Amino acid sequence: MGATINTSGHVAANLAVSAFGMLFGIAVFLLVPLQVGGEDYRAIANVQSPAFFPILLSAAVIVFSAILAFSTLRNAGRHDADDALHTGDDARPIEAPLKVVGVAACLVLYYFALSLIGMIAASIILILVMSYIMGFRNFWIAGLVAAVIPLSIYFLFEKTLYVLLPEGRLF
Amino acid sequence: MLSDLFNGITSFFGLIAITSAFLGLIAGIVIGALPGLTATMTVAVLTPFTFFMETAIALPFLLGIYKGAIYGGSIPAILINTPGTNAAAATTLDGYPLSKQGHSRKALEISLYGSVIADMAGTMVLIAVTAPLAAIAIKFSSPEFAILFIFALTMIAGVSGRSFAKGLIGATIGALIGCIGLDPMSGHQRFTFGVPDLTGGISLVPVLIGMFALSEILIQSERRVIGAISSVTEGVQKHLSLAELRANLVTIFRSTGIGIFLGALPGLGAEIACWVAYGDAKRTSKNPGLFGKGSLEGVAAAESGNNATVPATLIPMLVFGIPGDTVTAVLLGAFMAQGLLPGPLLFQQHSDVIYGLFGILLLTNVLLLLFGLVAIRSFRHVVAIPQSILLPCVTVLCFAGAYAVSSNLFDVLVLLIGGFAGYAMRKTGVPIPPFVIALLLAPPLENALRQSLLFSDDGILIFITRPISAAMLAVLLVGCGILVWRTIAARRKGGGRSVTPSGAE
Repeated sequence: MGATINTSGHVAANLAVSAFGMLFGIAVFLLVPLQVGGEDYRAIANVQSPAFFPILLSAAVIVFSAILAFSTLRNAGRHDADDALHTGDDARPIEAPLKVVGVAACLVLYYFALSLIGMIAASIILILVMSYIMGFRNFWIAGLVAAVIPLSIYFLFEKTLYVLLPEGRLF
Repeated sequence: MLSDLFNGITSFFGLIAITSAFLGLIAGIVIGALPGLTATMTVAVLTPFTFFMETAIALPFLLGIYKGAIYGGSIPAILINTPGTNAAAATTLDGYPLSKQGHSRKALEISLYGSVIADMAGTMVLIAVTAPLAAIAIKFSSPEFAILFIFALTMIAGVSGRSFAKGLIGATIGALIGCIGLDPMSGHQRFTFGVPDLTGGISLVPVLIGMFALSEILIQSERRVIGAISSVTEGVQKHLSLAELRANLVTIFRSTGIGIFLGALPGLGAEIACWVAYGDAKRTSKNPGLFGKGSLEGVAAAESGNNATVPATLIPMLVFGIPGDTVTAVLLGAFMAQGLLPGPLLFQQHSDVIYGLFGILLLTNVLLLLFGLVAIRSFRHVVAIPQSILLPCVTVLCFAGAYAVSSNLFDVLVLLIGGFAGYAMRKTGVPIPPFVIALLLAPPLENALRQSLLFSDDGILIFITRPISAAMLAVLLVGCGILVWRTIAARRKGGGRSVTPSGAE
């Protein structure tokens, strides 16, 4: 009897990282002529060129990604004491995926709400909704915190530190 | 040096600086004591606050937060078996059993004394070595700095996670992101895609807040029950006796030495030091069997090890401009925002500020001891705050802090993207520290590398013909060899046993 180790998840994660790294490196490489002052790939031989360092790095990320892919495929299926997913790692399976999606949606909507309804209103709604999603069910305390925290931050930033916070287009 | 210290203290010290350090210390302890809020997150979220403060207020405040957060992480580790910060992970092994046995006060006190002693010793080492090191570093030229930066990034990539390759991928992508903006030599735009906000590059602080704080919030939201904290045991509130403290002094000092050494090396921070110190204490203890069951020695070792790193990580940051860990990466950003560019010239141009800060660091140790002794009884209330209401409040602070950097919603977008990117990195096992430190070091690395090659008659051989850079290159290659060998050895230790793809027994 041995410990169950999610080797398939580990292999998939490594290959995903490797694929992303390669795509990223290739994308940067292809974007150089368009995004770096009209330079082309010959810039790798010219230290003065603004494209020199990005080309060097994009080549490096492609090489490192290839190494990761190669070593992952070579060792796939083997019990890897060092790389396998362990209990307690961030890479553990997600217990409540809907909760994560809900929180992520809150963050995105909050960003858009900042420019629409302003920081205070958006923050009140965020605290109420997000705490509910995360399982907090004491609505009185949630309401109190939702009122106090944004107002405290407003007074701290705008009245004490003289830092403007986002104002909404609507109010 | 003593006269510099005295001048720095008298010119920089004031009631406001002391008050600022004390407030930072309290904020750091309280926030560090909250599970789910790491020291990096704490410093990153509060850093934007300091942009609008004077240097004499901002820097003591941030350093106070850093110290407080590292110590504060031990409180929930002892009381509720949940480290407040990653640096307190080893503290749970003996701290919580002591708490269950009714000795929570003793555990909290040995943690406090160990932390203060370690921090004080580390601060004295910091004061003693930084100026001489800076005098050596000032002789460094572009080739030496280029190799040093590459060495630091490689080591950070190698020790930050379980995979060297993933660390290197993270570091190179971080460096590429750091290329966005204007080319430092020619001023040409690079990868701005016509977006005016990208002309100045990607702002570091929103990235840090997003990758450390927002990603942590997403990680915490994965749990089915958030904030389900086991009840805090009151226990018999016996104080730590003088004899018990004396019996652990050797362990405290040895762990302090380990913490100082590891803290001074880039990439190895408190999170690693606590485990190394704990393991060493267990190995050398007269009672190794007590470890894991409620040993004061275990708590002392872990806490001394992690707190000694706090001043030690400032050594590479102040001398070379290389952050020793992720928290100092954030601090580096804060220093730069205050107009202080860490590096060898810092001691020449701002010695009064630096020595004043050294004085503040010494003073905050005393304040930590005084505050800790008084507040120990109240700590159990802090750890009882449910994360499900705390984390939404932290979210608001993150967004406010990111916006405050330049009053631009674009920075908030960077924060958001950084948060999702950080979450994806953590789920796939790609360490974040190499990415953010590479983002920070990319501009000076590029400058040093290109200048070295530009002014070299030997081309790339300049890194070998100059003795200091050749020596550092040799150390780099040896270090890479050790990291690769470690990976291969770990694979062989796995025994090559085949398991089915689903990991069935």
